[in-house]
Amino acid sequence: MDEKATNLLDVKELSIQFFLEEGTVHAVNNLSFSLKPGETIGIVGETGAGKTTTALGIMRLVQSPPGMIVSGSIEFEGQNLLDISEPEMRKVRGNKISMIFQDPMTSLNPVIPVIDQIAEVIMLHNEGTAKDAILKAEQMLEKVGIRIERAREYPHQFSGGMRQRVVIAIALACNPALLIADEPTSALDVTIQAQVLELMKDLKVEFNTSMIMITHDLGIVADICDKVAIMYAGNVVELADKYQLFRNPQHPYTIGLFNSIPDIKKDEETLKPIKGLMPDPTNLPSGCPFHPRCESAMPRCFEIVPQMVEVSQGHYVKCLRCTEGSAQNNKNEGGA
Amino acid sequence: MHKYILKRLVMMIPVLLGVSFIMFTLSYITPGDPAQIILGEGATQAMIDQVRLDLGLDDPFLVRFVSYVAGVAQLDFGMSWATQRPVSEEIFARFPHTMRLAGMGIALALSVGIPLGILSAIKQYSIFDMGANFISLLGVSIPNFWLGMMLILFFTVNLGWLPATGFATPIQYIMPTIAIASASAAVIMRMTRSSMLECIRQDYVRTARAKGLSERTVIFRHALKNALIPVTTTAGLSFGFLLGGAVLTETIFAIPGLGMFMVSALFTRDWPTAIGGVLLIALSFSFVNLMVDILYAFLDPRIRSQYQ
Repeated sequence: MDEKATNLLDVKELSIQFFLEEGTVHAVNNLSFSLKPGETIGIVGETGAGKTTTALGIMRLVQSPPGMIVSGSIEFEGQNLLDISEPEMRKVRGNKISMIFQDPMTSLNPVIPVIDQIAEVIMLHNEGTAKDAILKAEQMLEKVGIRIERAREYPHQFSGGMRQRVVIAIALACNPALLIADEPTSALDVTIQAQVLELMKDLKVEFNTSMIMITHDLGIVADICDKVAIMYAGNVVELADKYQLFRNPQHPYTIGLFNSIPDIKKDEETLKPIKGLMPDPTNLPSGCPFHPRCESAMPRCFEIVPQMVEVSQGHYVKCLRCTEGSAQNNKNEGGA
Repeated sequence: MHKYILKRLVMMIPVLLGVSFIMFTLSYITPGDPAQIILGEGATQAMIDQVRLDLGLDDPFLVRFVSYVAGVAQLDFGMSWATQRPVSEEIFARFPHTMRLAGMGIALALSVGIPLGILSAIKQYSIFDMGANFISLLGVSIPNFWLGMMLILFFTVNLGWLPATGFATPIQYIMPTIAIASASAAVIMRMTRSSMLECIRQDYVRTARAKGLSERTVIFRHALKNALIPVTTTAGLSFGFLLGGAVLTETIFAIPGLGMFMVSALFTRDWPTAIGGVLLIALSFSFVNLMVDILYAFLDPRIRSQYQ
């Protein structure tokens, strides 16, 4: 009970489905995780694992129709976001929860000067005149490292990295309690990636913002996150403190992810991908959704859906092997 | 921007030269002796020879063309062979009617087409959307002369509400404007719809929603501004076609416009009048295109920076 009170965000049993003519897409299935104030969680998974849908679900921006949040709850600051009205939700969006989208080349409006795009969100959620909003927007531009002389320029006059800085300025303009970053650096080249991540890290500390960092880059997780949720087929399959997860991954999928990172010290000829493909979300396999690709699958994995199990303090795994309390669990305490 | 406009204005000169060259060639190769047509049946050979001499019809083609262009450069389009009055006078007496008809037509088309297009994009696949699509399909397929006749049949013959002819008082504007605007309204509506549908799926619209903006602000401030850019082109083209293609509507409603005048000029082989009219329409078409491009730059900063 006590722990619940201190959580900023508590996502419980969230399921999001898309109802298409071809069938129902089970994009997110019984997903749960929580986040404390100031904490950063990394959500990691392959393309199509449901990471973005989860983020849009929290913002209540899942395209509807065809998408729908079918069950679960999203408690934010003690209030279930799924219970409040749309106008109330609009007061949360951009104000208390902000989102940074993946592709900075397309996420800014091409026909509006960047300063107006920042000032717009400030005007919307704060009292004060348009002049105040522009002033605040200029401060935000400076914070993200863009000179004020460029404020009246349009998005096409900025590079990808600069545009993402503008997007970050928009997201942080109202000092949100929670920032959802959906692969904020995937579309940028590596040096710009590092700059943008550094900026986000600094601003996160400055504004004391909690963050959900969606990525498929474990390097970013190691750099910026406190804890990690590994997603597979719309499920969190492993949830742990960053150090625990990196030192002692438990779920076969997580282990596969780590194994697929090439080791620069060894002269490796071939990459080691996880064999097979993510299952079709309209037709998920029975039992554990990972069993068709799992090297250590047991006959029971075909039938029984594994439940989340706490294998050690704060380390949760959804795998039948771990449910049994296998010998591996004994090692993990020594690692930390 | 000023430089660009100036450049575009200068570019109109070769366009107009080309148009007059084509028209002049057509007049040259069309069978029939203009002098004979001017004088009518029963003219003596001596009279015909005299007229041919006066009009310079025996001069070589290029000489005639150059002297015509030189005249046009001084706003002298020659004399009408049919009425023996200056072509410029004849044309400018009629052009305002055509301009007014086309202008009111495009205004009606825009004010019906854009709102309907936005609505049916926002409510895609709804009953309203299907209805609007059906009506726009009708609008494109119904020929405007038929629509004009049906309007006359219904509102003049049956109900007696509206006058069937003329274009002087507001009540006379109603039916010709509807008849001429229907096809353009349909095209503009469909263009707005598809452009809007594309825009509301864009990432920046999602960003706008993520800011917490109301749906109305998202649509009108963020999506519409982008969606109107391609609509501008369609509207400009429609306006050009209305200017040049109002002949049938003008004929049905007996509007003394340029279209009707030019058709009768062609029938009587009154070439100076026909060429002058075509030149004026080509000029207005070029102007409309220039306006569209300027509007484009106004709407889209990406294009604006290309002009600088």
